[in-house]
Amino acid sequence: MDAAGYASVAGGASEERSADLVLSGLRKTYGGVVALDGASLACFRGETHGFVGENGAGKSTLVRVLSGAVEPDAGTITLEGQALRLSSPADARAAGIATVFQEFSLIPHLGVAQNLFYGLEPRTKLGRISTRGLERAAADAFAAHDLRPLDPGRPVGELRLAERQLLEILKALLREPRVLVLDEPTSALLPEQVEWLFQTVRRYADGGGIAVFISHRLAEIQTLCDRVTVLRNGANVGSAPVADLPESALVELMLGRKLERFFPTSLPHERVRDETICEARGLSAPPDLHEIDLDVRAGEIVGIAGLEGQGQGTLFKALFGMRPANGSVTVRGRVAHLATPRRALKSGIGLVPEDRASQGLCLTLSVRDNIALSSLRTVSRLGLIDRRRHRELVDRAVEQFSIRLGSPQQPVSSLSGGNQQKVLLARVLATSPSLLLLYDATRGVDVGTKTEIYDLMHEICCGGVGIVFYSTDASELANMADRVLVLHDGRIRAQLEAEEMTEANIVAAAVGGRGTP
Amino acid sequence: MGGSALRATVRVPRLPRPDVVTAIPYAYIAALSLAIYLLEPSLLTGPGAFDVLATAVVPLALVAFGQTIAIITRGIDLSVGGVVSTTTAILATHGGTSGPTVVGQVVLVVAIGVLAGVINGLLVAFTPLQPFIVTLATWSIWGGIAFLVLPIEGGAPAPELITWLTGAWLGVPRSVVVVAGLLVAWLWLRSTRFLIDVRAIGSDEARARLVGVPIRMRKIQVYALSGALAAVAGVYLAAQTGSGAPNAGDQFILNSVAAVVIGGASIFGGTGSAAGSIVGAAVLILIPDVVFALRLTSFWSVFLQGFVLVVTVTISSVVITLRMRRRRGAG
Amino acid sequence: MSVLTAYVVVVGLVVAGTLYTPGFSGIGQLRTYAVQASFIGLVGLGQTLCILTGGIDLSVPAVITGSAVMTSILCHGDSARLAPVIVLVVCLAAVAGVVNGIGVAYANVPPIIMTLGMGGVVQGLMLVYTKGGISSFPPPALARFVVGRTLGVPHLLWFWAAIIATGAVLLAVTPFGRRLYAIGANREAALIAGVDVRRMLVAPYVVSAVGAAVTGVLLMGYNGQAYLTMGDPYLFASAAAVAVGGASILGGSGNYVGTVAGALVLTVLSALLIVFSLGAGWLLITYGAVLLTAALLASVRVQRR
Repeated sequence: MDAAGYASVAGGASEERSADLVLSGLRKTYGGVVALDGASLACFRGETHGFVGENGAGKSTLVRVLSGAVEPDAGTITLEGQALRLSSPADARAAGIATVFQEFSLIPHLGVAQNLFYGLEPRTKLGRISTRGLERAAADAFAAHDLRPLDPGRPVGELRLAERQLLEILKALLREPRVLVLDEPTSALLPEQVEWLFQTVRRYADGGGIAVFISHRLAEIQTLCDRVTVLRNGANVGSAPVADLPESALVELMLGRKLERFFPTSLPHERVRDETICEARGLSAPPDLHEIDLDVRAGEIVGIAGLEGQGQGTLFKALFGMRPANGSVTVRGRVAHLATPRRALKSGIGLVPEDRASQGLCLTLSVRDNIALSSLRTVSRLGLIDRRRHRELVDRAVEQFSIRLGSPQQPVSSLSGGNQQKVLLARVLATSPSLLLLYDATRGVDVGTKTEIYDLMHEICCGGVGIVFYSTDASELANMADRVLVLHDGRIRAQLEAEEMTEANIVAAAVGGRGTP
Repeated sequence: MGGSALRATVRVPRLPRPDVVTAIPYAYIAALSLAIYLLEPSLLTGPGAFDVLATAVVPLALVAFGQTIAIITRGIDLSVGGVVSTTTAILATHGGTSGPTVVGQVVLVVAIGVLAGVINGLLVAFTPLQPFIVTLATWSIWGGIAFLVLPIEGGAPAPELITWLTGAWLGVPRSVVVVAGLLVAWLWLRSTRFLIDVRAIGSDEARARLVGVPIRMRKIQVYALSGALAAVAGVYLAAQTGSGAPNAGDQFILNSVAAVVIGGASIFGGTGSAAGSIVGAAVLILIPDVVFALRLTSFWSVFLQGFVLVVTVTISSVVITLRMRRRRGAG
Repeated sequence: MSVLTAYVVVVGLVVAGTLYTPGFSGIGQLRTYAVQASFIGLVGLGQTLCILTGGIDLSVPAVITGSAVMTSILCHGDSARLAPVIVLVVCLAAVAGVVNGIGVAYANVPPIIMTLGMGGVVQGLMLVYTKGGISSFPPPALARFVVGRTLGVPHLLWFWAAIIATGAVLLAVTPFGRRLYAIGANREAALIAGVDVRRMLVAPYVVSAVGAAVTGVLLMGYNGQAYLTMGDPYLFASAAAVAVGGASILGGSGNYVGTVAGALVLTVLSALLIVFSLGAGWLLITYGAVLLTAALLASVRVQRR
């Protein structure tokens, strides 16, 4: 099955010519990592255009480009025949593009009405913004869009997630945009709120607007959108009327044929020993995580899958003492008191966190300092760091992980992303953990290093360590894990093993409609 | 209809609940007033007592007003100390008949305050340096300039200045008018675009940029305002004390920050009220009265002002941290 | 500015001064500079640690003055009392430092505000204690120690040398030092790496307070008296010294050897000011300008990385 078949559906020149919003040849790299690689998009007035792709396919970068938050390295944006240069959020607003951001653009300390009308406020003679006028306008806006009004003076930071999501949508609508970009607007909403959103978007499009709708939930794309464009690795792989692309075809297009990924050829299942390394019972951290039972055996890789924000982050935090949780965790038969990360490390749990730059490494410090940071006690004698042991520890790690560097004294920030990730792994493994938590450990890492990390995971497992491995890349889970748990809404929704543990099944279980397993 | 289903799921609107932090200044002022009333009622009820209090509050209220805005942006202005010192030093050395007129002097020193603020603002807006480092350095610089102008305590400002700024106006003490004026100014300012921007910057600078807040311009304005108000405070201080001192302003650093913190502003930015800070300033000015009423040496008031800051900031910091953690947990 | 550059600047300033007045670099002069720099340097150790972790200690002037005044009053010129009084003063300062540290680390109070407030508390207690006036002189033993020399080198410099060695070792080759850098570079990453961030964060403020207390005592011996503003210049001086030494005010880089260079730069600069007969005002302006310039250079360097 090839994606090209679908791509040709959309490749017609007639569409390109008459489209009202045309993005073409967009390129953007972040420090060597390619986020957009010639992505393009063609939308028409009166249309709701779906936009799908796996995590990391470049969707969020494209949204940032459209909203003026990020300037592309190359490429053009044309709206109704007019070329646009969007170098700031103000430019995008002036061009009539309003964005519903996934992470919201609401200021936590400002009130509901102040957020809704920022930049649109009517002013009185004294240069003030009439609070009463603003509140009345807010009440009108809620009524006009058939929403239950919120207290207009209430700080947005005090609202619940769903309320903030609705507010973010309403805020974009109030700008009466020519283009309405919605980035994952439904993940926080209840079914009836999603229904409201769909009606609102349809009404908006019927009024001659261009709606760009980004979602992981393929069912929603099928319900709402007229046409759909699929993005993979920063480039388009297809664009067609929704009716021509059933869900299964969309999944195939999203995944593509990942010839470029190399997994260890043989992962003998025998390496999994019948010895439980870690046993978690009833792990709960409301409202994000509920009653998780998790067993990890020696040498086993347990994959965790799920859409963004389904509790996987909380699960890892709870297991590493970063989020108080109920329930019990034992490691090698001993009860682990997971009050702080330090205690977790002492109990034999190690974590490679989500964001290397903000949580993983001390970027300005040297490679040596970073590798040894968690094991300073073991390389010290009489309160002083033993230079020889320190160097041995670092040299061993550099060799074992084949970290490419000039000298261990160079700052970690001067290494490539992949080598940085290996430094992080080296630091965690220097503590000889029994259980290793990997949270999206291959994100933003080049293909070669990915392969090395897979080999390392294999090697680590053969040494009897258990791994819990969350990844946004389903193919990785399918190829690396011994079994995969799919999280939804803070609960385990499905467990896939052996033959059923395919890429397509994992994606389907994660994106599947509500209530379906 | 989707909307009707929605109505059941969204929380009913309600007014924000009053919280511990905003109640702090009023609790302090009630407690201190009560203490003074019980111990030494003449300090509160005697003839002109209110005038005396308002007079004492004015300079601190002015500095605290500007400090409030700086702290709302998640910054701080330590240079107010140096600016107040420089201002009083200049006025105290130009008390003679020669030299520029009194109006000219006042315009000059306020312009100096604005200049000091603009320099702070430019540094904060265009360099990666944090406000506390920038203003620590400029505090030192302006403190040094004050020393150059007036090396030792003394001097005298123009007599007209003193008669202008003290006394009554239509039977109302001028100091009371100034404090009332500051409160009115805050009521106006708090619903301007400027203040919404300021709060947005302090609340979440990245999102403020996304929304289109002119961040650099606002920061420059914030520190310019703080510098100007510090200069005006220096004018009052010179008039009230009838002299100058090269380090006369240093006390205003701790006290202005304390007034803001007592006044209920969040030290993590995003919220704050200059009106609250003015009440906070009154609290700090009442402390010496309480010390006097308790028949303690006046030196206790320095201790108590620091102590009140430490205790209040710890309480409000713990409250805010817990609240943020709870909110993040729910997110 | 790297540490090496800072030392080059010291030499450059001395050469410049010598060109202007030949006596500027006499051996006696150089000794005096070093002794004066030692006071900034002693305060600077704690300030370096605080700034490394992204904080600052604004309470040092009050602690310096407070400890000097207390020592002077409690000893009352009696050398026999000196040792117990110093122990007492240092313990009290440590308490102030612990309060600062707990406020910063556990209550999450911004360091500027916490230490500003504690500065007021300490200064207030000192004023209450002295009732605003002091008339005393240092015990002879202290004065003797401060001006005395061993092997031609002033005792103060021996003492400072020991502190420099300790400070350098502490930061470079102890787990404590490496963890401190990690906290300064990335607090969240340090936490995830198993560093007990909170407990660690208390230490810099204790070191700072104790260093300030010791400085106050020695300064009193050096000046022959204690007075109520004696600590004031040391806040700017210590912060500027740390910045000149190459520490990024954003935390995570810098070391004590650099701060030592910074202390020397500032001292030689102030000597130059005296040569040009520029007084206390210019000294403060210089401190401020140096702090600003050095902090800017350090931040540019960090950004370029």
